[in-house]
Amino acid sequence: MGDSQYSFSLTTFSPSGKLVQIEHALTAVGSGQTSLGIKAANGVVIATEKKLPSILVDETSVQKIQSLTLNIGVVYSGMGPDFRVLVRKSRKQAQQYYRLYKETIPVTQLVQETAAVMQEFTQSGGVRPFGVSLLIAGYDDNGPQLYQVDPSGSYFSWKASAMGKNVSNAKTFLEKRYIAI
Amino acid sequence: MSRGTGAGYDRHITIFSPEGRLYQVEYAFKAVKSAGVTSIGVRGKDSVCVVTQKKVPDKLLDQTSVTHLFPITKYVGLLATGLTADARSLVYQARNEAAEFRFKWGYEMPVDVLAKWIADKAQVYTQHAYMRPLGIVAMVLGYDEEKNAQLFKCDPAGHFFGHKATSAGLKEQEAINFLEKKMKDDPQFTYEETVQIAISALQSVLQEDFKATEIEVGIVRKEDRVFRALTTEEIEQHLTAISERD
Repeated sequence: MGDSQYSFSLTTFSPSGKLVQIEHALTAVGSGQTSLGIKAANGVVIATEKKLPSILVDETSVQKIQSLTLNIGVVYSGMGPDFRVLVRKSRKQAQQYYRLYKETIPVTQLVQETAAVMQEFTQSGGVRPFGVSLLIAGYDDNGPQLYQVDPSGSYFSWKASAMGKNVSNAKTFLEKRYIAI
Repeated sequence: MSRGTGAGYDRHITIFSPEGRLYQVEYAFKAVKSAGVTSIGVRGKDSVCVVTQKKVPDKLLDQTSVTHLFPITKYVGLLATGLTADARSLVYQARNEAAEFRFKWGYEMPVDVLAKWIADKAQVYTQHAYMRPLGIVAMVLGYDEEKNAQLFKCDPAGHFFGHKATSAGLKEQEAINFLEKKMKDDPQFTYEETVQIAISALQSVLQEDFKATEIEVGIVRKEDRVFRALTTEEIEQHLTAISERD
């Protein structure tokens, strides 16, 4: 995935053992517009703030929530252009899975493959990590599912989660109000 | 090696700064302004008009060879604000892409698809260290058979939006303030009104009255759908209409 002119990774360990580029990517996510997701007994909901920079912008041209397959959707917080790249790659991966197995891709598989892409960009030569966190919501044979994927490529399944600005307020709200299913 | 300062390369290539910013992308935006030119785009009910300053720095230059307005196909145009060399590179690739699209799929590349392609290319330059972002903001205009008149703006960060009206370049913010007032109640401008709003916005923001040779105007209309640049005579007519109106 990296570039041959840059045969070395730009994301390297600091003396304290941190990957600072990933931390900076998370900072970029943390200053993005808020989005959140909630898993229910019979479905999943994802939502995001859609604040446009001016009233002159045609809001029908902007779609922050995208579908990856018929039964899997995704929303992001962070850098819009990076999000578009991941949506394109994930859609292709879902189609490749279907072509191989003649079955629609399970949510966990798509999440794993998307996360693997994001991890590649933290290690390959000449590239920077993605500046987005994703909330992937889907419904398959294992029921409703909600996953959050971070710029590092790590992912977790959540009952409810939030990302972007004011994430601590949002999470406090969700923790108080979430009724276990 | 790196502590909180990010090893000092975050200003040279597109890696994250400690605050989560991409300095190279921000500097690319500054490069757009450094050209000293302001551009305006307005979408009317069934026409789109883009206007830009035509700054010819030397009297010995052939004026007709100085342009920022490029047809990509017969039906889609691109106005580039910023570094002209980067603009030519992008236009060359966009023309190629649009022609391949037409060949492969049998119908003209829609405006929003081209705008997305340009924006996705810009995003690659923000993520891969081997190429710097382009120092241009591209306004793409055309007439779509399903969605009517379309105006898109693509920037060095890889963002792209559809616009009812927009601006780019040195006086971008002033122009947007002016246009927001005019477009507040979602007016559906006719072709003449669209062109005149665009030109008068530029005049108001730069506080000068133009001669027809000092600006470039590009249009797409529902009637003929082709993208073309207005001739000096046509620009003169619109300028006269504006000054008589005021």
